[in-house]
Amino acid sequence: MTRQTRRQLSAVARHAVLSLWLIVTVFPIYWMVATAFKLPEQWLAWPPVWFPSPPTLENFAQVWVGTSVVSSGDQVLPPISLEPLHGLRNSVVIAGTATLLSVAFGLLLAYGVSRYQILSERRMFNLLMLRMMPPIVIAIPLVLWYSTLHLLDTWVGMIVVYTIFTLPYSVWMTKSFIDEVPVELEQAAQILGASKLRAFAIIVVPLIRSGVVATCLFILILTWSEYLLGLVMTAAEAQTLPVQLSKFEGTQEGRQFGLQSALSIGVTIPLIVIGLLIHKHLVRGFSFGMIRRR
Amino acid sequence: MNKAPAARKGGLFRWGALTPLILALGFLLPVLLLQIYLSVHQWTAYLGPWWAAQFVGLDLFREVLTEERFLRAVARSFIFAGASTLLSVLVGFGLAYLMQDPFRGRSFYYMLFIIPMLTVPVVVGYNFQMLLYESGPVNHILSLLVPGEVRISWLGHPVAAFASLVLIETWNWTPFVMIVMLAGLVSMPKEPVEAARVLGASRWQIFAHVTLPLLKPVLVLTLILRFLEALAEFPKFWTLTQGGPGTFTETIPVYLYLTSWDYFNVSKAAAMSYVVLLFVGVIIYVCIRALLRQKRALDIMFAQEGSGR
Amino acid sequence: MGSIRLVNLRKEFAGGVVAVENTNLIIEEGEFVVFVGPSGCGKTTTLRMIAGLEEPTSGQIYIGDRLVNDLEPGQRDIGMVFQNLALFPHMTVADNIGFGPRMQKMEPKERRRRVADAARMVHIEPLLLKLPGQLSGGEAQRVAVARTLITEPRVFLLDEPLSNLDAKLRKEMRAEIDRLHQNLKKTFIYVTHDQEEAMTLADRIIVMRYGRIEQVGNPLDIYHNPVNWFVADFFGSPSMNLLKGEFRWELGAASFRAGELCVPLSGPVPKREGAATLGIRPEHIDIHLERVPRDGDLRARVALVEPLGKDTLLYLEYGDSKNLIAIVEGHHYVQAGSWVGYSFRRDRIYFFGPDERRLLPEEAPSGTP
Repeated sequence: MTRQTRRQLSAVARHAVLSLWLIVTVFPIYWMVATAFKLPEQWLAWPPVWFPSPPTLENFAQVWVGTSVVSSGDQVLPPISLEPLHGLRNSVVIAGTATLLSVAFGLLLAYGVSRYQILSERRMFNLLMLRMMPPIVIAIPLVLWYSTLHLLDTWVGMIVVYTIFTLPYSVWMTKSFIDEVPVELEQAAQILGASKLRAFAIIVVPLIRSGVVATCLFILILTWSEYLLGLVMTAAEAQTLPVQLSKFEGTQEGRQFGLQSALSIGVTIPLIVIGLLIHKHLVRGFSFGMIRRR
Repeated sequence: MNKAPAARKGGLFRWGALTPLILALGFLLPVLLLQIYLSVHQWTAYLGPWWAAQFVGLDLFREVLTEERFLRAVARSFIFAGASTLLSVLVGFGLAYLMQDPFRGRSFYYMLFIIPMLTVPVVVGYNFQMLLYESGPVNHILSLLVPGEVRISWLGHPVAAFASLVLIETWNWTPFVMIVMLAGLVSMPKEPVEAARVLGASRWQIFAHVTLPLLKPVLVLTLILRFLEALAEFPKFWTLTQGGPGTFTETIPVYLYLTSWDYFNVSKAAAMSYVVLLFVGVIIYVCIRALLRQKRALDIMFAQEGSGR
Repeated sequence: MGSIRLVNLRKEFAGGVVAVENTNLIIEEGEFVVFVGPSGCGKTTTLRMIAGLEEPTSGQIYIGDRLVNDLEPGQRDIGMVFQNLALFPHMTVADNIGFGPRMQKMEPKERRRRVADAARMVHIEPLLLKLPGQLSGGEAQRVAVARTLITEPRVFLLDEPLSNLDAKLRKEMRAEIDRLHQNLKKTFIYVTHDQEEAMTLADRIIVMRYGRIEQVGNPLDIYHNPVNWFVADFFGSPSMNLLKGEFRWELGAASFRAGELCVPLSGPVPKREGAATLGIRPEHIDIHLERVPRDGDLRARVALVEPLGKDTLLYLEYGDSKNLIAIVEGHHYVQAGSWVGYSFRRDRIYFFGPDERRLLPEEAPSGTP
């Protein structure tokens, strides 16, 4: 067998294996999307309906706009007063703000650690591992503490918690990017008259742009999809989408799969879109100091 | 490494930069103290304010540590975390290995492969609930492959439910492993691999003796991160089984949540939290040591070859 | 046995980049052959194809009498030293050296003995337990060499092994490699961009440019009989002076004019006119300080003097900021700005046509009167 043949065969094998995992990966997503377009009688049908025909937008209208009424069989289901747009707004504000704050503080700290060693290596690892504590472990006293501070069910309260909890990640990730920029560049800028801060802003920040983007996305994923703390620390005012989704489920009699899917898509689509847009930046930044770039 | 010489002016800057960290810790300190208080005082919420609760010493701790339900939850957490971490590392590493060299369509695969990681865990939970439903597509596919109709109640059967959760967790987080391992593979120097080829090593030998050792730090990191995150996993359990059937999928986070918010036994939950905190802390300590060791090894390995002594 | 034969070898990369054009070459067993040329000329690609690390787009490679196109690198009975050494950073020196035998499942005791032998051959016995990160450049070099020696290959491939070393180390290691070749008497294929390395080490030099072989020959041949402008310019330090100008035919006498310079040439045949380039090496320019200017002597102003210790470089102006570099032995206390008389050694003048090719004697008047 020639090398060329061998090479072609392994390419085929590779595609086969990857395609297999591709199906496993994409199928659940496909199902969710397909179900969101199904009429109620198709939700629980056996054998299951693989392709909704005719496709309908009723589910989306019901869940997101609250206008139309969905009928299941001959029973008209009551309209669901859910105000997911309320939840959407909360999610955007809370997750967005927390992400920005976390990354900003993280950058500041990372700069300090990288250039001035304000924290030792060991402390840095301690910090990371601190984050690895299951949040549920301090959820109870946190709730009590918050109720004392009147921060329960507020935007500020959630933003503060999310910022603190994601800080270790953002510090670690941005630090690895700053480390890659030779300190000589800032020194050269300083010799030419720039202040430390200016040198950092004009020289370092542009160079670590893609890394900061990747970090932002990662923190955004964490804060947007956070569930437990949101569940126990919010009620009607500051409830985020993931919590709303579970509340929706809780109030349902029987499985409203179509509506659930329509809601779910809305909850998770922003992350998927953003993630796909910046997927090229993702490979960097997830190394936590364990990868040496050549 | 790029370390600037400590500037004299750095003093002011130091404290400025550390401020957010100090503030964060300061914010959390009362929380931890409160936790200690709660764990040694029996407080039942509807009987009065928390500061008037009765002191019970270490009773609660004793109760927790000897409770079978708690210990089973611990075991389940570990099995769940271990199994799902192992699976996602095997698959993720495999995927990364197959995708390390550029080929036509690689971007396409990559973009689709990362989607599960971007899917909110709550959504993942409800989605799989749909998939695993008795009249759902999973059973349908199995019915096509196996003679006869398959109508397994995946979430109603204890072992099946647990296994399903392990697989769902794997599905959710394999992309994370893939991304990290891919980053590691891509930044690995290629020449040692070529040298090994010339020296007659087979593909398997190259993988075992050259690739794997060079990737050990990344691998260890990934294993640790994934394992600890899996120990804390809550949304999927809560949306799919709430610990059921019975208590068969009751892991630590689930049991803790039930104790606080269902049974309202806040003090016991506090004590339990502390116990969990402690032994997770021990695990984390061991992990830190391991990671530091890996980092040191990396430093030695990549000290500039031939830079002289 | 250890001979190499390249037949119609060609390598094209994705995007249409042709790294190696249709190449044919025979390397004898035991020869020390050096591929030399500027970056991107295809020398490394050719070496890697011989090694099996790159697949040729077309053509055949024979090692000994075996067609090796379909053989993996490990099956070709070769050893290779990489430019950046490629030592396994996580293994000790001993494990690095013993890697090959270990992959062949050699008995540990036998392997240890061989490792010790190889280490002794390159004088690194005390380093056996160190890690590559703890070695100096020269030490790491030797480990890389030992690692190939131990497998006793028929052919040694070396890809710019000395480029990462400092000047002094480079000379030492060069001598080591030479010595190694003398002792082992195996075929060595060496790639470098350093013409000095090529000149000192090679039995035969293969000069490459843009994927093509420009010239093949032994060092002195290449040096004194370059086949074109490029080869002439590449070898020699300082490099050959190349003067762009033209042939003139006036009053029955031939001359070559470049800038203000006019070099009378012998005639009458062959008669040639038109643009050309004159080449003269710095060591073939004679400076006449003491004697009275003679007929045929040229004069120029000294623009710059660079004392090198053993020799001195003189920059002679022959036109608008155009300099000839001459090299003279010793130091002659010439001042920059003064005028000197000089002449070209007649039998060392080269001419190159507009197509860069060196003009043969029958094509141009020579310098010899």
